[in-house]
Amino acid sequence: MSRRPRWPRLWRASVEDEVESELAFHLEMTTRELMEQGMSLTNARTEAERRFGDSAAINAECRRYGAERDRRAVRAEYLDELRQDATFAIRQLLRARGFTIVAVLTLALGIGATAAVFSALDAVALRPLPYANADRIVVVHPTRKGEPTDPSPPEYLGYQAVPAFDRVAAAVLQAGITLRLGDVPEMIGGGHVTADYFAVFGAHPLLGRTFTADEDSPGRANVAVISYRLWMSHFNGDRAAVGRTVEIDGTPHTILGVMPKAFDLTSGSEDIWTPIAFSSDDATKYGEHYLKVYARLRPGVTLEQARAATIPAERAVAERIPQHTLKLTEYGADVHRYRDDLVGAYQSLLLVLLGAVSFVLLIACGNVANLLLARASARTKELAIRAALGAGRGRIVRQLLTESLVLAVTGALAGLAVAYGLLRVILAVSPEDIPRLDQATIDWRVLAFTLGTGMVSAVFFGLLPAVRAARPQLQQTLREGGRGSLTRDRLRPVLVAAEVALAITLLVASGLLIRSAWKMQHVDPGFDPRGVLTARLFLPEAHYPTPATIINGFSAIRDEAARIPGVSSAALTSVVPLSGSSMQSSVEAEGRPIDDKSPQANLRFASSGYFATMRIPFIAGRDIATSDNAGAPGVMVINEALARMLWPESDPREAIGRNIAGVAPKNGPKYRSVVGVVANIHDGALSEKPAPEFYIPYTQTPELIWPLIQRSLVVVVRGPSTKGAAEALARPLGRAVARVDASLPLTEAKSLDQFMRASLATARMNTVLLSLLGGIALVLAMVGIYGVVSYFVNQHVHEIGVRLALGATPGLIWGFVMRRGLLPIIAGLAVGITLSLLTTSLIRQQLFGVTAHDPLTLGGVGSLLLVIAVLAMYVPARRAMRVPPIIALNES
Amino acid sequence: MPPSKDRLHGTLDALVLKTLTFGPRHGYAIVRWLREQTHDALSVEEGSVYPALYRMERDGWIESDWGTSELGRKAKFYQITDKGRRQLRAETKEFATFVQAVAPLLLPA
Repeated sequence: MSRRPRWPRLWRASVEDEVESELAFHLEMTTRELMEQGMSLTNARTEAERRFGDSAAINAECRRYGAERDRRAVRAEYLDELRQDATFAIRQLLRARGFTIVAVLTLALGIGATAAVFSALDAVALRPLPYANADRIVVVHPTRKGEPTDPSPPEYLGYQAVPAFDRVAAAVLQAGITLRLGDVPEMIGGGHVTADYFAVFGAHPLLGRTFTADEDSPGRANVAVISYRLWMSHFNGDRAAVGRTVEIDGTPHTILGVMPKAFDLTSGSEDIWTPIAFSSDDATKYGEHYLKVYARLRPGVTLEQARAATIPAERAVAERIPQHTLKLTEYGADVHRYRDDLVGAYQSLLLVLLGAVSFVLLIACGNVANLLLARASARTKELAIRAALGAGRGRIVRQLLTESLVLAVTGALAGLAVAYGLLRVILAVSPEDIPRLDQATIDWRVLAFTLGTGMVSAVFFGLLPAVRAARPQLQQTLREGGRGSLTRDRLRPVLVAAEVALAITLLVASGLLIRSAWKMQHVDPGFDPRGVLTARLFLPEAHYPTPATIINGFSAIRDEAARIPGVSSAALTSVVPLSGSSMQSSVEAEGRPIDDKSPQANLRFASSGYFATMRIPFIAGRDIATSDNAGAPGVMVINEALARMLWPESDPREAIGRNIAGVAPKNGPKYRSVVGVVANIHDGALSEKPAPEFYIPYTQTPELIWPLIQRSLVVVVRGPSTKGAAEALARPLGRAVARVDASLPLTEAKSLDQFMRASLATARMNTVLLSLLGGIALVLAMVGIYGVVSYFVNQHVHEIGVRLALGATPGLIWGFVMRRGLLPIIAGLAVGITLSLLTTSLIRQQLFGVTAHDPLTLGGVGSLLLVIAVLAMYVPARRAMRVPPIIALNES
Repeated sequence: MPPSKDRLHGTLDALVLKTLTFGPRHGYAIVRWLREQTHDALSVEEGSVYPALYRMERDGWIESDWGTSELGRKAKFYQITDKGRRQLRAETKEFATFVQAVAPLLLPA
């Protein structure tokens, strides 16, 4: 019954009254004592008050202490109860070991998976970039008729005058730099940047300094800054690296400084930076769009303001262009946040995963709620007795919630192990170029997130069962002898229906993405990647100053590569398909007026034998020949898509002999004649439609192109199509190159299969992770269905017994159980499919080859769930059929 | 707070706690007992005992309960707790140290 402090606390609701009457009592007693000594009432009263002192001040002080006392008491009681509840909960959970293990494992799966995805999302997108004022760093680029393009040097200079920016830097990133420390030259990823580049990012060197604006000028630019990664790998972190002279691209450079570790954003980011050193000529190179421009917004300036301020600067530059091809209003510029540029695409990828994983967590919560409901039913008697003994409803809810909380925290701790494992999987299957993903770990942020998720889940799965269990139905419960009433069963089927609906939605989305990935993996790229190895070579200006020397150099390298044993053919190209890079040019068919839109096509410089090496079939005409040299008439090979774009009304084969203007040499003839038509290939991505493309003999590369592509071409060699054969050619290829020029470094040789794999990396990540999450969701849903049906059978053993005793066949009983079990599943299916139709539109952009409402996926997922549901119901339904009729006589 | 006031505080607390070691009492009884035992030497204002009582109750040295006084009136009775007894011992010890230190100066033999 109620404990002793119960009524005093009620009384103490007013400290004021308490103090008032206590002090009044004192005055009254003193007055009475003084009157006994012979004083009159008035005198005694005055004397008593005088002896008492400043009663207002005393009263106030007493009230203050009294209020503090009550607050402390409430808090102490609360903490005491919490401790009691927790101890009690742990004891209860240890007693029901089977229940506890299932519930904790379920929660560990749900919470752990969520924590792992959160950890990845946190590392990639949520954590601020390691730069001062990272949200003020922006990327600026020109647009032509709204289409983005890279800035040219005059445009970079024009942006510097925009007042919205306080610093502007230009860079050529992802550049191949030849570094020679000892005897062997090496190809390093690097950047040529203006002096302000580091300041835009607010990055300070770890050691030494970055270069000054003075050093960023022609003739003085023999300085370099290196990355932390390069400092570690090539200088063992020796501080004496600063000040050392190394050979970069054939000329000696002094290392000025080392950037901090945080400046290495991805495994493929730059390792060395040298000044871009614009010359005065560069200020008028309007047509050379090869830069990246980064800027820092002035404090308080919005993106929109910056955009609005950049467009006039762009048009001011455009006005100076000697011959215009576009109207002035078609020149525009755009500004967006560097962060969005860096992680935007990956962020949506990870958000889809987080969505999927939160569905798994919700299903897990549904399962645990179901388990708790079943347990609460079994405990009705215990709870009814507690209520009868005076425990309030709130008190019982609190106690049951504490139990949920203990479960959730245990689940969250176990979930950390799941998170750790799943994070390994994510790291193993994700594309390599996701910035900062490798920094994802289980740190305190993830720990806090995990525990927080646990707490929230506890409320999710614990509140409803607790409130329900605490509903006072004393008489009924005690009368029924703790068997529980049938009306309470309604919540459980609803939970199962919700779980099924969630599982369906998740599985449909996963199914669509997996089917997209599968379709993408089975796209014919248009070339045969098996057995082909590629390596980009950069010829340094110091040894290859003219186009003729460059062409001779590559020609010799190709011939040497073709002689490697096992190599059936070798060729040269400027861009490898599916490598992520591309080069574009406008094209114009002779005799066709250009309308508004000058068509664009992908451009490649290639040698003879390129199509044979890649196994790209010819539709008509001939290959590029050795005789198509610099002195010969300009020729090109086009693909089917370009033929159809330029001459939609005629057969692509008829393109042979026609003339196209594109990449014309300075002061040379405008048109090149088409000598061959080849089949289409997937160049940018397997998921994209093949683009129009044309191929120009590398021997006819216009002179001004060579510096833009850094005097580089890719050697492609075809070996046997067996697995690993291409990779095995890497060393022989390196030796072949060295035989031509021992000072040339070979960039990392990559097989076409590797490029294919990288291009499919996102699809593969989707497949692996979503299969995993879908599988977990299925298992959890199955466990949930099993639990409910099994519980239903237990609760109805008596009724089933009676039915059997009255002559029902086991078949009828089977039907009875299945009907009851299937009802919520059918409802869940209907809701789930409706829900999927709504949610799949969110992932439409990531789908390939399937519609968001793909009937095959919807039907497949629906049937899969039905089969799983029937499997889950099989065991309890069989048990129901075997109920001995005698049970009808017992237990009544 | 100057040490003299602290000392006074501590002494008043100790005296009240001491009073309560003989059994539960209400505030008026405590005051009267103090007055009688010290032969009116402690000329504190009677009312100042009450804040001390509330403060000590807050700190858990004493507990209170409502009961009936000798004259049949409802009155609040205070009772010393274990924590209060420990506090009294500490306070007494401190007081003894104080007296030992001060007595030779003020009361030369």
